[in-house]
Amino acid sequence: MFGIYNKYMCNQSPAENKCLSLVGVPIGGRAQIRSIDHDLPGRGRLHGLGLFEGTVLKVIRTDDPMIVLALGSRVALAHRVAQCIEVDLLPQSEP
Amino acid sequence: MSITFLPKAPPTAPTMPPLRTQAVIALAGTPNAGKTTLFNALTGLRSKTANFPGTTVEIKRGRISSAHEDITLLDLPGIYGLQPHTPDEEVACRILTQQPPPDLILAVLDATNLERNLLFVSQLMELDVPVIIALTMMDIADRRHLKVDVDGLREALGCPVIPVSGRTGDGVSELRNQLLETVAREAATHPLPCLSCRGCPIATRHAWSRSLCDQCVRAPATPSEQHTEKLDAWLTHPVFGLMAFMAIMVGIFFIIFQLAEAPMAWIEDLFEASGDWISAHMAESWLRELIVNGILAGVGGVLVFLPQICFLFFFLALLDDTGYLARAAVVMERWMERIGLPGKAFVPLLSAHACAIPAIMATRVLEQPRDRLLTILIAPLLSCAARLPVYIMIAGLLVPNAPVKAALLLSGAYLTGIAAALAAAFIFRRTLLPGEHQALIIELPDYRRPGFRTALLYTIDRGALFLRQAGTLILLFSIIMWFLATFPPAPETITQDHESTPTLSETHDRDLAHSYAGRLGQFIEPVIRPLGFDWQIGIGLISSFAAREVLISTLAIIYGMEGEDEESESLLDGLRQSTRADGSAVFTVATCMSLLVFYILAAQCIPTQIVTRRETGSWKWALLQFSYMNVLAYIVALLTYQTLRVLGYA
Ligand SMILES: Nc1nc2c(ncn2[C@@H]2O[C@H](COP(=O)(O)OP(=O)(O)OP(=O)(O)O)[C@@H](O)[C@H]2O)c(=O)[nH]1
Ligand SMILES: [Mg+2]
Repeated sequence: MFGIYNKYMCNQSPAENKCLSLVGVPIGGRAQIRSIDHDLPGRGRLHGLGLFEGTVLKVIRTDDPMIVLALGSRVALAHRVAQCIEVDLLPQSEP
Repeated sequence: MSITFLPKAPPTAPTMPPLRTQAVIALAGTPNAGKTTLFNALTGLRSKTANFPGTTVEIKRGRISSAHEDITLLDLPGIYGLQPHTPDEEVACRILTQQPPPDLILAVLDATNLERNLLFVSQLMELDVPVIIALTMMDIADRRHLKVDVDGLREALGCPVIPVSGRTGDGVSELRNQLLETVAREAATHPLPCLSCRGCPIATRHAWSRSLCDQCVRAPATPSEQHTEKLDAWLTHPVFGLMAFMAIMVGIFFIIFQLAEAPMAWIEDLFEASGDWISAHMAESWLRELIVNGILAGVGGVLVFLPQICFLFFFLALLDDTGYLARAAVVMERWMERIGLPGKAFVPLLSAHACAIPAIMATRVLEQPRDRLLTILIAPLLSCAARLPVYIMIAGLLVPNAPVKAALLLSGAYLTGIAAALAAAFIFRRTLLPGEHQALIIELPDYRRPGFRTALLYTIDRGALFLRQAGTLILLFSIIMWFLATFPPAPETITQDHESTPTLSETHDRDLAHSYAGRLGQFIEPVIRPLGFDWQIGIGLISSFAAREVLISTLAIIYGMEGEDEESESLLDGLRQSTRADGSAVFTVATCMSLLVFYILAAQCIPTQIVTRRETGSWKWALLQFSYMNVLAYIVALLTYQTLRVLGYA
């Protein structure tokens, strides 16, 4: 049960192409989802809420649970979940 | 209002429509898309809630009819897709995919968030069932200057698309006509033009919904959702959010108790007057006794709580409608997670303060079966409305005429229940139900002005459910309890042994001691004696299994008073003055406190165990719930009584 979470807690390698776990995105930061852990129990729920590979999201709140804006809806996520979501940081282009 | 309504769909039916009665239309959509609001607008009061066979998931059924058609409408729980994650969603998905499927799916889409809603529709359209799309929240879309090209959507999707507002009623009659017409016409299914294949990956679906939105939705340059974000900054804040949560909850409970006071008194008066009327107009017989002391006292004692329960559900429904409850789950997640409970469990636990039964049923919002089980097990420890009268009676015995102390005692009782529930959760999580709870993933819908109509209909629904229960189960228990306390009557001959004529109260005591209930009370007396209870209180404990508050009427009868002409003041006086055989007072501080603690913690409500059994699918958990609570109640009451006795309060 704890295994998959731990795996992602130590899997943040920011050096590699700005790719990091969603927890690492600062407030107001935009990011694109690169992958979601296949063993994450809430994976299907994330898909339904519009969080899947390729989704662009914006971080509204960073404390646990964090809040992100994706596909026009706000979603609150426990850090335990966000740690299993790998993202690419995007430049702050949009207003 | 500038919704561009659809002209009536062209009358394409070539021949007379085949007459189909009992067609079924299922309303499907994501949570908060506006299904229930639209359902209520379409069916009005012609709906009723029933359990889905084999589950406690409730499905609202309603009817719309014309001269030719009689159609059943089903309001399904919200789903994000066809892979269910909770029992609620499972039922919704099962209804959509079972054989035979519904005759028509009314897909309810939030016009203000089409991109994600179309993603959902792409799954519905694979089901080989005709689909009609209702674009709800058009009034909000208008206010936000969001322009939706309805004709473009209709063309792209190949099915009727009708803009409506369930709130204002705009477009609802057009939608109703369209539904009737489509059902009559045996509409064909609409294979989605984009997706000739099945089971496309989600990214492909998203690309499709995205491009369709780009094509058909014209949004203003600056989005106007600022107020939701500003409010969220406060309401989901770790510190202010918690303070706001507390304030809202305390406020709601305060209002509920204030508002419910008057109607509760009316109901009480009504039952009392009925009892008096029957006593005056019916010859004395066992039937009269049964009606007045059994049925009216028992059922009336429970019905008094109807106003409180209705107000609680009304305010919960309003709060849910505003979108706040999801924020509260975020705030509570931070605290409840330490105990091992998911933040979402706070809604069921909150309603457990009215009644454990709807609370147990509300646990189906939780995704993980273990979380659900844990919440079900501890929910009955929270003080439900039925315990309140017992608390009030004990407060009256312990601290008469001291409202501040009484209020403190009552708050203490509620807090004890909460503390016990949290402690139990903590222990179960580390023993029987180990593992992490499901981490929070929850949508935070836009804040909206709550709909009074939806809340009112929901409250009526809940109230009717409660009434049905009072009319069946509690009625039955009242009759059984009265029977046990009345039969067999004490033999007359014993009276002759006395030198002087016995007082009414003496006769009553003897009758009671001789009855089945009395024998039962005496049978359990050795067990409850260490808690400071005698056999009469024992009868009260047993009768409480009908409903906790029955304790009061039972005690009133047991201690030799006729319930009918008693003011509650004199009931308390009577109890306070009652003595044991050796002349010592029955209701000492130690006994009262022990009784209070026992009622806070004990499982005394069989219907709760029945619902637990239904919801968990096994008697094992119901039995565990029943036994751990009663063992806990016994031990803590024992400690309370013995400690206070040593301190000289017995
Ligand atoms: N302004 C406006 N508000 C609406 C409309 N339809 C629904 N609402 C509001 O949107 C919120 C959600 O509506 P519901 O009807 O409960 O949504 P639902 O789809 O039944 O939600 P679930 O049962 O949770 O899946 C409530 O606050 C409603 O009052 C509408 O047409 N206009
Ligand atoms: Mg609904």
